[in-house]
Amino acid sequence: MNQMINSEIQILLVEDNKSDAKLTIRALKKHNLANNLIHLIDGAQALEFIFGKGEFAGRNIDNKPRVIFLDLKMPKVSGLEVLRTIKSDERTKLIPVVMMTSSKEEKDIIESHKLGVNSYVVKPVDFENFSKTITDLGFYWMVVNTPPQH
Amino acid sequence: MDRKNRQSDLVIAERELAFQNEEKEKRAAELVIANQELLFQNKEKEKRAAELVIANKELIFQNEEKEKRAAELVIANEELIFQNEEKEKRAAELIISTLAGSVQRKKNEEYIERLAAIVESSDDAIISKSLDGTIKSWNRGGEKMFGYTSKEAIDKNISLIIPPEFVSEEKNILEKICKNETIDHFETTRIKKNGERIYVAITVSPLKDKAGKIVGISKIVRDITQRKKAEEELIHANKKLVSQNEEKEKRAAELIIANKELDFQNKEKEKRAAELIIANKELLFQNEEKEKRASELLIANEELLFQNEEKGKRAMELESVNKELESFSYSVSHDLRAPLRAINGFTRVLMEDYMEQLDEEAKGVMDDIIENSNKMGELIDNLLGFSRISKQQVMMVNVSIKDIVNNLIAEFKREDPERIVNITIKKLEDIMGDRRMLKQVFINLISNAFKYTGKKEKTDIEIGSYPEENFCTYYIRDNGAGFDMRYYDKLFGVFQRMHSSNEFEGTGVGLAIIQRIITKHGGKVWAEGKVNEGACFYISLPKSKIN
Repeated sequence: MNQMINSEIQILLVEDNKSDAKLTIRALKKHNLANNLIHLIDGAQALEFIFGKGEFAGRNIDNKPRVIFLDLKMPKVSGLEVLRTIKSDERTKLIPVVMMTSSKEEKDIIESHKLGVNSYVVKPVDFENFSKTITDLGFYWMVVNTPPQH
Repeated sequence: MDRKNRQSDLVIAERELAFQNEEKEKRAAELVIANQELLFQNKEKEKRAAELVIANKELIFQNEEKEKRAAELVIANEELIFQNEEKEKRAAELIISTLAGSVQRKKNEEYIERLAAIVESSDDAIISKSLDGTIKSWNRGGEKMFGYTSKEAIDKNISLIIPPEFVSEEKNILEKICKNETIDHFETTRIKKNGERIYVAITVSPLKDKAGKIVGISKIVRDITQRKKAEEELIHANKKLVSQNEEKEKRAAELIIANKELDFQNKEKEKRAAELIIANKELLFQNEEKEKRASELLIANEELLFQNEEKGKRAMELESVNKELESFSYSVSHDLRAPLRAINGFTRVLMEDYMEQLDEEAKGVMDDIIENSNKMGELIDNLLGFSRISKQQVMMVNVSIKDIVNNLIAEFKREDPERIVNITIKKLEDIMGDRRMLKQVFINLISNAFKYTGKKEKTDIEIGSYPEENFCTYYIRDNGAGFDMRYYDKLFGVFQRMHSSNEFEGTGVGLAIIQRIITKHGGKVWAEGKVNEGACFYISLPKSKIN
């Protein structure tokens, strides 16, 4: 993983649930979308990574992920706080963020969109649907979407 | 919300009451002051009236004193006049007796001389005249009194000193003397040499010769001008006093009237004061009553505040319970689904990655795991959906039920195009309500109708509405499996089912959601059913009211 820190990152997966992470990575891998994927296990780690602090001090923060798959409910720093920090910083606000959650809670959906989330996805229980959703997201953000040039 | 409004209304009402109370207290206090002021003025007026009564009595007393003095003066005057007359009479008698003596004792020259000396020295004018009025003697008193010397007067007619208007008087005297009649002492007016008139008192006596024949007249004239003047002055003073007296009587009478008037006014004022005192007592009583009521209200208010606080506490408790429930369902929403997803996902992984190592039975077990985890996911979703509806606010808009029903029917038909369904849509009225919620109601109703008619050869579904006063009732009737009315109580309960999952799939939340939504709209929901003959569900919504 350390080798990847400064190489091109395509997907930053922030997910505290090991099973969800495994299944997500498996689905992406199946379609060759997980080559440059970094998995972080909570919001605090995610912020340190994105802003090159703490554990990730010295990381070039200009090396931005093409997309962040962000779990909403995490210990310590929640997905919403990570989203707020990213979207309120000039350096990081253009990074697309996909909120991935089990919850259909209206207030989570509204809050995420207010903070400028790029997609809000409810993870289906059924693996086939789950797998398809993840793959579609990977395709969309890696292949279909054209990011701004910097 | 309602509670809060009521509480603030109460607070406002209480302030209003307190304000009115203060106003009333102020007015009562002002009345008390006004009353005291009136009482004071009344007393002042009583004092003044009493002073006037005293002044009046004083005046009456002075008046009486003056009347007394006037009466005494009149008496004194009369006494004076009487004394005067007495003195004149006596003087005249003396002179006459003297003169008579002189005539009778003519021979006694000495005596005559003495008499002449008496006559000469008298202050009174002593005049004698002949019967034709010629003056025959004129003493020094005559000279002094009339200004004529004896030379000037003697041999002149007596008319010398008689004012023209009194000339007839002299004639009468002469006539009376000649007839030998006695002439009383009389008072008259005479004229002096210088023309000045004087009052005189005259005593006339006849002069007789030796034979007793009347040959002349003697007169004793006394100047009474001073006395007359004094008399006149007295009379005048008396008149003045009388008129003053009358004036004073008048004024006294006026004062008596004024006094009576004052007395009357005083009594009136006393009456009014008494009335005011009564009114004041009444006001005080009312005030006390109002204070009582105000204090009662305060107590009632405190009681209400206490109850309100209790309600507030209970509301807060409920709120905290609600929050707990909310965080519970939030947690369920997030955390309960994740392990299911893992179970489901890893079972799939097993099936994908180890397909060849698994026999048919193992694959069947894997399918059961996947199916059950999916079912549980569905249950969780429905449960969350149900709890979410309780929290959602109703957004009232005009909703076309007709459009909702038509779209849903089309969707259901599209899902199973092969199935022959006979659907009758009658008139469906628009209604005020939350579009999303009402759509959910009709989704549940129509999907139930489709589901429970699934085993019939021919499906008949009828949807319609009819107005009922302020409500509009919608119904959906099917000829499906129906239900046993004995278990009607359980029909709308959460997770309550009338059929096993083997017969008809379901989680038992659909009708509970319908009931929740309709209740939130202030409406009613009910149903009729018969086993194997079908069911009819009714929902009744208020036409324009918000619940």
